[in-house]
Amino acid sequence: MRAFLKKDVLVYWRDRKQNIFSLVIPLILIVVLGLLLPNWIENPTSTLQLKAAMVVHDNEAAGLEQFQSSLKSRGLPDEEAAVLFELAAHSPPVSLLNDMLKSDQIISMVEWVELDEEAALRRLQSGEIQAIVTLPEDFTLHILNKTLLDEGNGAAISLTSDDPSIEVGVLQGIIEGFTQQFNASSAIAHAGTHSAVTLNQEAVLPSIGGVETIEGVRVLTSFQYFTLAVGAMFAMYVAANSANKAITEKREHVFQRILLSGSHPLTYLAGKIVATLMMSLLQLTLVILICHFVLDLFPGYSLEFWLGFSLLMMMMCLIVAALGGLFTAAMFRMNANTANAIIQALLLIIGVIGGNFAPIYILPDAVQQLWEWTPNGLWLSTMIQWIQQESWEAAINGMLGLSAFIIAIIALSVWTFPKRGRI
Amino acid sequence: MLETVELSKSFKGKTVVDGVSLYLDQGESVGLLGPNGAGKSTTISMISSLLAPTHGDVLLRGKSVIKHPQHIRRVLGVVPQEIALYEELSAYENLQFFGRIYKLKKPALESKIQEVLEIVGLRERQKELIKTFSGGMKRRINIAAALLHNPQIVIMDEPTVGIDPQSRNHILDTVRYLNLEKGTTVLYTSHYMEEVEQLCKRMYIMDHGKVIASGTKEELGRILSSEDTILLQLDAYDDAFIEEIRSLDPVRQVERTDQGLKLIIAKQSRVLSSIVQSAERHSVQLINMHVHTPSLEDVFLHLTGRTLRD
Repeated sequence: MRAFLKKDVLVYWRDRKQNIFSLVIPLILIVVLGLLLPNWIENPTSTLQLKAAMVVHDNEAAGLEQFQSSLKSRGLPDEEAAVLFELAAHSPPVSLLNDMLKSDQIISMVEWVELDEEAALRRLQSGEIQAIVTLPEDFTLHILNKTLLDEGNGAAISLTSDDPSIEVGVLQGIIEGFTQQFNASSAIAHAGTHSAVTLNQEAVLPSIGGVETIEGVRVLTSFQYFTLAVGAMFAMYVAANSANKAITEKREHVFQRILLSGSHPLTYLAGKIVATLMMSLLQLTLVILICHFVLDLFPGYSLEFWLGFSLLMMMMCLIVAALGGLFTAAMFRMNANTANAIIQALLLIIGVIGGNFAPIYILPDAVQQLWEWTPNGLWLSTMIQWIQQESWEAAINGMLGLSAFIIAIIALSVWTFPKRGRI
Repeated sequence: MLETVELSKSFKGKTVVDGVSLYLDQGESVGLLGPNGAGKSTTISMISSLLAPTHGDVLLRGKSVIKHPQHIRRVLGVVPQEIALYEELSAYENLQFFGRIYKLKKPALESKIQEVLEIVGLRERQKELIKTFSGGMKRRINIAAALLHNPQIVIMDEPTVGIDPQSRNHILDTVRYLNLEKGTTVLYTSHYMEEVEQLCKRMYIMDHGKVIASGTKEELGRILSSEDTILLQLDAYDDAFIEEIRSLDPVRQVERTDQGLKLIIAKQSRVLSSIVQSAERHSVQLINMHVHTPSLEDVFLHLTGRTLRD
């Protein structure tokens, strides 16, 4: 195997034209796309579309009445009680949240439906809506008690979604923005109060499989997105390049000479896979490192972040290596021109579906559904989640999915590759 | 040592090798002659166990190569018609790779690489990339790669196609060295008759997938022992002239050459005056006329009706 690996690495390494193509073109594309489309990823509201349900268990009028009664029962001086009630009645939290979520700006991005909890869950499961915002019972009373009287634990706005998309991330950001603004206003209006409205970080509906908590999300920049997307796309071309080298070996009868040596054909295939892994790792690492240092891609990220990032990068390169094996097998199975056409078409299709050419959210819904069913799409999705959330759970889930892809592709390569030792 | 028994191969119903039986004794140098498309390369692929025959068998010391390909692969070196090398690697790196896949260990591999480079006369150029080599030099490294594991039998498939005379001579010297000095059994295929005449004691002539004649040079020459060859150097001639020549009784075959016509005629027939008269009738200027005993090239023409390089 070492002989095959050394030979393949040397052959790839000395193909200067291909190496320059694999390194320089992605760098140019990343810079051009990042500069031309600077707000596609950071401020995607103009193009984002999300359907969400609002489930309100709270009764605002009743909450205000209860708050007024509680003021009386506390024996507060009438004047002070009147001021507090006026404050509460002037800015009831549910009305403020409603006004904000149904403002023109938000409505252009989020289509709201008012549902009861059961219907909302059903629709979330069926994919008709992407998120549920829930206001619990006595929300108004608890918030007013906390913000104006500094009593109790306040109340939580729950955001439930099984779709870790950019849209849901943006909605979460909007709600977080509201809570911060509300707390700040309350604090100014009533000195001595503490933050009370919090965003519930826990899944409130554990009965639904796959309900995922959306934690604090970092904003993904255009340069980060295009570095990953374009870098991965060109890494996949390393696999196509491997297969092209195999065509030459087949055409020039080098492969026959290898068979005559008594080497098992799968040793040759293994050499191709490992060499493709090494070359794609080198290519992707260089592209990402150059972009990182030139474009200040991930400033101040933790060591833990880089560890997860490196693991995911390795997974992508393993995908590329497996594809290299599959493409090589295809070259030996069929006419080289036909195989080449199929490979190029496949790369183009999975590149589009996987979001390597343009952010996935600008593509039709049907294509978006397939995103994570492509290895590169799954990788990109996992990588984006890692950058935004640094969640090991999400990263491991993604890596398990990618491992399944790798095993399946390698198994298909081995199954397809001629093993008879004849031509 | 090695023999094929009624070897046949069909692709999609088309028979490209049809019942070929041949043998090679140990230390022998045998030629396999035939024009392009005669089935030589397919026969070689079957002998070397790379291609399964549709019918027949290949026996190495009596054992079937088809059933046990590993037996022949250990003792066989194949020089394919194509330059089966990596262009991006140096001559040394190519030989190192092929030596390693033949499981040669380091000290032995190093000395073997230097030995085969010496045989093909390219030791001084071993560090240069193959893509910088001339066609002839590439062919010489192509041969060197087949010799690394000390094969007892070497099959060379048209190793001198498209190369300069210097490299061609070097390759012919290499084949002689392998056969005469090292006792290697050689099966040499070519469509250059003179190469086979120089290198091989026996030869097989193939056409349209079949062996149409075999034997030593002398045995094959006797096929045309009752015939002579006349070479006519002509200024200009037309089809009517050729037809008239062909209609002459002793003329058995007529072939166009660069300078005129080649005729195969019955030995010692009196045809020269008829040829001169025909030339006069058709206003063809006869520049030169040469009568000689038929060569193997003529034998091939006689047997197949076409030249080796058709």
